[in-house]
Amino acid sequence: MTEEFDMNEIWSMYADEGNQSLDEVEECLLALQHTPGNTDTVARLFRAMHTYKGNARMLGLSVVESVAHHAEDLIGLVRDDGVPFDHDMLQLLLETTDSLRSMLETTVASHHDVSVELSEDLIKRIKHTLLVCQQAKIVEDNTRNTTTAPSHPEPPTLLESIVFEPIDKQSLAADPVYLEIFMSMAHDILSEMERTLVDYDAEQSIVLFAEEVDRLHHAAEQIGMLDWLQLVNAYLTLQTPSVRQAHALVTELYALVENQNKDDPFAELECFSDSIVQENNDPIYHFLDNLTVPLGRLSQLLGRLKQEHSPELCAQLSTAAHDLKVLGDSLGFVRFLEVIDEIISLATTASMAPAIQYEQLEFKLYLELVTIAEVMEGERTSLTIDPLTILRNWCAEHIFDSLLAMRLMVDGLRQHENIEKNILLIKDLFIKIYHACWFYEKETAALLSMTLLDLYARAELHGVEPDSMLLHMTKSYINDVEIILDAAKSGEVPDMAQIEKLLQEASEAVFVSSGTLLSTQIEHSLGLPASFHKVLTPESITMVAQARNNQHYFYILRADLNQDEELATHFLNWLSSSGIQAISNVTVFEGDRTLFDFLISAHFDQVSLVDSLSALDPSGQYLKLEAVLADKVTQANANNKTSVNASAEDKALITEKNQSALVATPQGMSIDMLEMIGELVTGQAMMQHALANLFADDFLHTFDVGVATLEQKKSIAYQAIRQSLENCQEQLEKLMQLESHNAAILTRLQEAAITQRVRPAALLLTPLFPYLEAVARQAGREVKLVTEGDSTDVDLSMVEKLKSPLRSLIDFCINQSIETPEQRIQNGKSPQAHITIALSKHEDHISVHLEDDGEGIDISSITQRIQHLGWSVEKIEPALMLSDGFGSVSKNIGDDGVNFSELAKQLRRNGGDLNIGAVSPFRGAHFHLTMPLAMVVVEGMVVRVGDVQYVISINAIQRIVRAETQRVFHISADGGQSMLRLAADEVLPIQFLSESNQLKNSPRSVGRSEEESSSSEMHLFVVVCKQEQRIAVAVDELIGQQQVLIRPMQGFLSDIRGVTGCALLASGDIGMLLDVAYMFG
Amino acid sequence: MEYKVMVVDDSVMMRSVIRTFVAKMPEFRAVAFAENGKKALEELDKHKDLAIILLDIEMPEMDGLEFLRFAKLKSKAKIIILSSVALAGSPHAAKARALGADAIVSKPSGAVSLDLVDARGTELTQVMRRLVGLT
Repeated sequence: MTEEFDMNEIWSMYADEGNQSLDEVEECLLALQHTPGNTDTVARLFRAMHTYKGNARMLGLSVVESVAHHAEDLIGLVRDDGVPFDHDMLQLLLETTDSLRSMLETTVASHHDVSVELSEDLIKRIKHTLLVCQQAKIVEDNTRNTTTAPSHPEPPTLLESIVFEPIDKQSLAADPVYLEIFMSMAHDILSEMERTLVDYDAEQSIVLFAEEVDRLHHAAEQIGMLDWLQLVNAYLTLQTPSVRQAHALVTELYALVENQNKDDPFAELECFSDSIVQENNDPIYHFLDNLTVPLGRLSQLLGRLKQEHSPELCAQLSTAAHDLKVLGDSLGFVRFLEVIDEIISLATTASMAPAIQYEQLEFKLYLELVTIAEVMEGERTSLTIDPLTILRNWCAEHIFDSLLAMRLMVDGLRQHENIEKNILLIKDLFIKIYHACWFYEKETAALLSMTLLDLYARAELHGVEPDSMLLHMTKSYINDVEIILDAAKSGEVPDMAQIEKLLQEASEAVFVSSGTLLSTQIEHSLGLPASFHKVLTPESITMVAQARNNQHYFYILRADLNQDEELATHFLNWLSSSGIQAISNVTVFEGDRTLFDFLISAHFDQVSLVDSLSALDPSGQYLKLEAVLADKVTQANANNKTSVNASAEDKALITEKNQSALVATPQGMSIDMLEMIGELVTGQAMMQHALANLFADDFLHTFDVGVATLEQKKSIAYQAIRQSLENCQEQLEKLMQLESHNAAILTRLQEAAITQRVRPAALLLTPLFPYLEAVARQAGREVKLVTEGDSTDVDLSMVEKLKSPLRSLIDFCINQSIETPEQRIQNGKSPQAHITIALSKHEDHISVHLEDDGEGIDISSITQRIQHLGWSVEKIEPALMLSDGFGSVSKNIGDDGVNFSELAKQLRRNGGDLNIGAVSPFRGAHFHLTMPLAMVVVEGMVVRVGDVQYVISINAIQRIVRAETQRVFHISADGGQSMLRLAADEVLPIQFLSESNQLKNSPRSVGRSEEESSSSEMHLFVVVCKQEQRIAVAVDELIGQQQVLIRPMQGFLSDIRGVTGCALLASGDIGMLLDVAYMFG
Repeated sequence: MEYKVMVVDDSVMMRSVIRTFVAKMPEFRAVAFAENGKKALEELDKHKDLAIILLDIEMPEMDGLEFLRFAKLKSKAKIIILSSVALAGSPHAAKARALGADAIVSKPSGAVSLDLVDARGTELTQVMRRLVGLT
């Protein structure tokens, strides 16, 4: 693990921070000398010592760590348990600080831990003070007759302080808790004594037995168990004890245990703490409650074995593990026993295992105990020690190691190294972090760790690598947890906003991949009840989409399938019959019955559905129609379809209302488009997050600070700057990914949008029929409308823009040009007049010709109007009506008439135009409207010239040629125009699109290249034509033919000559549409 | 080698669907069925050598998550949560993970997973095989 770092830098950081922490410790101690009750200072002192301890642990300096740890515990008593800070304590801590400082120097110089002897005496004295204080505390609590329930959320009691620790001259025998601890320990030692006497030969067993006697002596002495001491001392005075004497001692000691039980120390204990020990007959409770001491010993042994490996310790570990095994054997908790077996097997290995292995076993053991405590009857708080507290304590202690390890795992996964192993380890680490987060009561962070674990586990089960998004989220998570827990550890209120955001992001990321984002849309559009929320899988979403395409109805059925198996089978068969699709179902509890709600789609209506259900279940008890869902999407689509279909059948039937509804609302959006929009929104949110991350990092500041500190603390500066740059790199990578993802969706969306916006011209023309009929009836005319080009594809916006001008023109034709039926008969025409509207689509505009077969425009009324206005004109012609200020044209006084100049203005505002045909005796009124295509879909050839991509309309391309340089020549007469000779008698002017492009093909370079005999180099030309004229456009590369959506150039771009619009190409690049007409001047 | 499977689901239907599903896999055999966590615990005592437990979450009496706690202690069987409520990223899934579920498979089409009838539950098949080390 450490190979990844520059160890020198870490040591140097350790030295820096260590000195800082010790300075802080000293400062606090001196301050406390004057104001011993200052809680802020005590808290500061605790944190400083804690930091020092953590740093030492990071580097595996267990002796140093141990000293700091004990000092921290002592300060903890002052901070958390109200133990007074006295002079003795001050002296001891000052001494400790001095000692730690010299250890710091030694360790930094040697890169190794100090020897145990250096600290032994000091630790012993701190421990002693600790115990004195603890005991004083217990006595005090007892006299106050309070319960031992801790009043602060942070459980300060780590296992080490529960384990029996030796003290001098203190008789604790009167204390029931210590008595219990002693008795339990004595019990263990006795079993061990017996075992040594049985398992080994005489000589060895006496040696091993002596060790146990020593242990017992030590314990009895510490706690002041005089009768025990007496027996033990007697044995110890024996010069060469025999096995028989050893047996005798065991028997005597057992007798003491008997006596002790008669005195019933536990009765006292119960009296002492009846709030903790309740009557509980659950064997699990007893198991857990008896664990306290052996577990403490086991964890202590595991801790010691991490540092030193001796057969003696291994044997003790094995014994401790056996004790646990005996306790738990009858309960049959297989996984617990498995862990114990692992510990035993570790204890019997000859060599020292890596520290991580001991830690891992300790963790697994606590985890199993927690699982056991979960199923215990009664409150866990009634246990002497709740395994959950132990586990969370432990995880909190190891949190920064866990985070560091996880960082390395993620890096490994990024490099695609040891995928399976890394995922396995990461899962474990998430559990550790989860419990650590709970220790600090950070629920969101805890939840997030499980959510991420879930994602890794799913990736693992499907045999896929975790994707970069997940790895990135994990990294962010590590950073955030580090910050939060750091703050929490030092008693500050951490900022949770970041982690909340991450949780949101994680959920979103999950939902995108599982299609749940889409399911939310479907829940909404189908109006699904809450029970169906978040249950639609990608499969069911596809089914909904299919059902919509088939215009199915959606229902919810409630079924009781657990009463009558025959009915259930029939029902399920019915569900899989054609015309019905079972989309999803959920469990519903109704009293003690388990029912199911089925979301189905069916092609038949409600009446038929109810019929089918009653055929299946005549009683009506088991199958019920729970709800008929109104699907918004299908309804919208249905409206859309019927209106268009009807128009084909009977144009006159279409109503105004239907039309405007269709144009105004984009309900025709397909499910695919909704999906793509959803994806875009998520992508956008993630990009926003990444950008915010980038901006949150004040690079300049980091750099400045880094450079400023570079001189003094090179490593720290380096680390900080590097960290910042790494973050930047990471965010940019992520942005790149997201960007290309979004670009791809945008392209698809664009294609979908093109098809969505295109409508047949019938949508514009059909409503004119009823309009014309109404106007004609009012005017007493007989008119028939003839339309051409109904099926031409037009953009939706075109319909709106042309609707009102066309109506005005129809008004004009009927009222001004077309005669009454009688007049028409007199004029030798048929009584029924005709108005013809012909719509056609051109390269960049729509053109509409509207004419009638009436009398046409009355030129005399124009003359009158001109005279009235006092205008002087050369020639009276209909086009004058378009002049500004001409006003309305009307044959009859009192008739509003049509204001052509206004109409023309309106069209020109939209980029269109209106022209009025000349007066002719053979035809009626004649108008010509044009309107540019707002969004043109062009079938184009995409070409590249230099770095720029251009689109050339396929219609304008005559051919594409590849010609050698020698076929390009130069006419000096025509301003240096380059020409391309296609054949002897076929010469075309060449159009270059850019400087660089021109240089390469310039006549001069051609000349030179001839000399250099590379005149056969090939060049690409696209030959475009306009009527008879042709031009060869020189291009570098043909990218390909594709359908592109052209948008007109806007703003200052609209002044650019030679291009008519820009296009978003399938590659996501922007291309420009060449204005072929412009090239021909 | 035949791996023994227990199915814990409150629906008669679902149990029979899974029974059929498991029957199609030659390596596995469904040997025990239970309609709630309590019953499942009793079954657990009878069948010590289960390899896989397919576990529903929503059940009366004792739900899947509570059973999970006991099962983790009492059995070495791999526990697959098969549920329509434990989608990826959901609180249910997170909870199940915290309790040590070995795998979580979303029921493809809801509480009564009709897909399994058509033997389309490929995900479940894969997961089961992987957990017993067959892949």
